[in-house]
Amino acid sequence: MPVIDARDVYKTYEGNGVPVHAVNGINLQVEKGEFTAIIGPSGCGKTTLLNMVGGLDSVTSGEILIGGTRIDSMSDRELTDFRLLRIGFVFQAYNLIPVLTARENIEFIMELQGVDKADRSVRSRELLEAVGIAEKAEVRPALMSGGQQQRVAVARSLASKPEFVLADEPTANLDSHATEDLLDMMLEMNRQSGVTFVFATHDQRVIDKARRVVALDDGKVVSDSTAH
Amino acid sequence: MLWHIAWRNVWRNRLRSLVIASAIAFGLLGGVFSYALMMGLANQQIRGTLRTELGNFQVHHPEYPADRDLRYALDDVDVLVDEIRQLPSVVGVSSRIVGTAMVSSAEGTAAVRIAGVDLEHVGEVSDLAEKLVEGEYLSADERIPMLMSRETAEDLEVRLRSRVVASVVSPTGEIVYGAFRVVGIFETINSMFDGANVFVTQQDLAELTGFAAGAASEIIVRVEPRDATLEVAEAVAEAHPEFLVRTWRDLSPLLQLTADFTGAFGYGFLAIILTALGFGIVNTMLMVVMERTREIGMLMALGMARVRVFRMLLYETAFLSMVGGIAGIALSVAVVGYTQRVGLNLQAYSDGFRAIGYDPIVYPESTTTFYFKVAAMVLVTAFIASIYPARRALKLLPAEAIRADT
Ligand SMILES: Nc1ncnc2c1ncn2[C@@H]1O[C@H](COP(=O)(O)OP(=O)(O)OP(=O)(O)O)[C@@H](O)[C@H]1O
Ligand SMILES: [Mg+2]
Repeated sequence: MPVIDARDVYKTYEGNGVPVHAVNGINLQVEKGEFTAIIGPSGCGKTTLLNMVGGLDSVTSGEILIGGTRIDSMSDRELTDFRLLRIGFVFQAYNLIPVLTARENIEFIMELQGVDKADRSVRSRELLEAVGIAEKAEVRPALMSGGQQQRVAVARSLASKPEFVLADEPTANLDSHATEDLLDMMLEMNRQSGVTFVFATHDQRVIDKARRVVALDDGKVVSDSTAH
Repeated sequence: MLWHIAWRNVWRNRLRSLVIASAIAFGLLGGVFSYALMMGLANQQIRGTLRTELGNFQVHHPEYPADRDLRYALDDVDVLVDEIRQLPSVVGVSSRIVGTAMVSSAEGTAAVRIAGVDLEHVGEVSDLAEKLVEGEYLSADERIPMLMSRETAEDLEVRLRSRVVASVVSPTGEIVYGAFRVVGIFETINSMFDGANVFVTQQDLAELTGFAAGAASEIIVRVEPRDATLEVAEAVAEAHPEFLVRTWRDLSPLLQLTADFTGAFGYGFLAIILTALGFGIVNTMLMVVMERTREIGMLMALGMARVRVFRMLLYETAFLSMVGGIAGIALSVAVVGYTQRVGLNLQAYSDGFRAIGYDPIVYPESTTTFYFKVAAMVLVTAFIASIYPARRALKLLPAEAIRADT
């Protein structure tokens, strides 16, 4: 069973009276352990697709199943909990709460997830070690580099051991060195722990490292290739 | 951790938070000080009037108050006085004969109340002896002594040791005349009282009017603390349904109004200030929500429930308000405390204080309970002020909020 199963999904925005078909009939299945990039020109619907798969946006029609559970008909409350416990997110920017340290950012989400205090501190340390910035545990985001901040975001996205991590342009604000480092780190996690990553990206370096590349245009899948 | 985040968020924009906290602090100072000033004025007036003039409650023949007719007297008044003296909280009891009189000198006539006081006990219920500006208090050593106010003395153009003639309606309805000698001149904070009262000894007034021995028109009772007044008055009224027992509230509707409404006005004034501050808080928090649209969207996207977002903003508002609130209360305690100690002389602003029975030197007063209530009011304001901005935050759609432009 795929972790992500999007069936015949449409999304139409009523922008200023002119309907925009942002996602126009997409079928996409993602299996556990994939490292997949969704690519395409600006405005082709990458973010829209990711948002629907992540339970952040509703579908106009179609079905979305996550680990076999339909999420397109869930209430706002159910979706909130679903996102909290089952899906990891890494955004392009503004991932972290500026007034909290790296460790606190992770532990805050774990607190929302209902993890008790002792487990939170053990697990947050593990996660920060796994993303390679244990020494920044007590530092606030403003004093970290962009790459370090994204690592904290990745660490946090893994706190609940989610089905998969959705990352929308996670490297867009990083220089090439930081991008390489972040990607290598995520690849490592993918290989070692089988964490499933789905990216939306323009970044050639991400595309190069991805094992599967799904190309969109005008809200449709135009190619889907898996590297060997 | 929500508390934690909220507290740190308060200090994200330090300057803005300090500005709104200062507004709250000084707004509260204004409100609290006004309240303390009004309470000081009111309590001084009540205390002064009770101490000099009314006592805490009075006992009369039920027919007497209508036109102060000396026919309606309390007989065997000493028995009743002793009985009341035994009651708890009673600190002074004294009887008086009080009638209406015309006091005349060669130069004029004044219509006044003439009170014949019991020299032995009058000090327990009235501090008039301390209000003398000339001469001495009534005493048994003097023949037919009288006290009058400076105001009356000036009207009648009489001086200390001058003789005046008082005409009084006796219990039998005749008008009787008697000569008195002015032995003391008083001045209180209340010029209405001053213009309307002269004092003589109970014995002299009884002799002049042919009053029955052992009878008096009224008994004045002083009770400590003031709160015990009603209880004691009711006990007397119950034991003596044949008499009319009235507390200072019944005796002076003006004082009653002062007592009941000063506090309410103070709270009302504070409520208006807090409402204004509330709008300031709303404005600040709206700015906060707007600035943090993406951050709040991110938290909701990660799965932070809307109620938690609401609570986070509520706590932040509460902290912000309490920083201002605590500073404001501390400032108020200091300012009220200081002025209470040294007194505020308002004479420079108005000569009218005495005309309405106020002492121009005011000692603002406040209570710990009041400060706690102010703190509670600040918290309630913060809560109400946080609702609108927090609702704005709750309406954010995470997908939209994250897309929001930088
Ligand atoms: N809330 C919205 N209302 C109206 N139109 C929208 C809305 N959100 C997205 N769109 C439109 O839907 C289309 C797809 O947008 P989307 O953000 O998914 O593209 P994208 O592939 O992520 O682009 P980019 O590479 O620039 O991030 C675009 O034409 C966009 O203008
Ligand atoms: Mg996008």
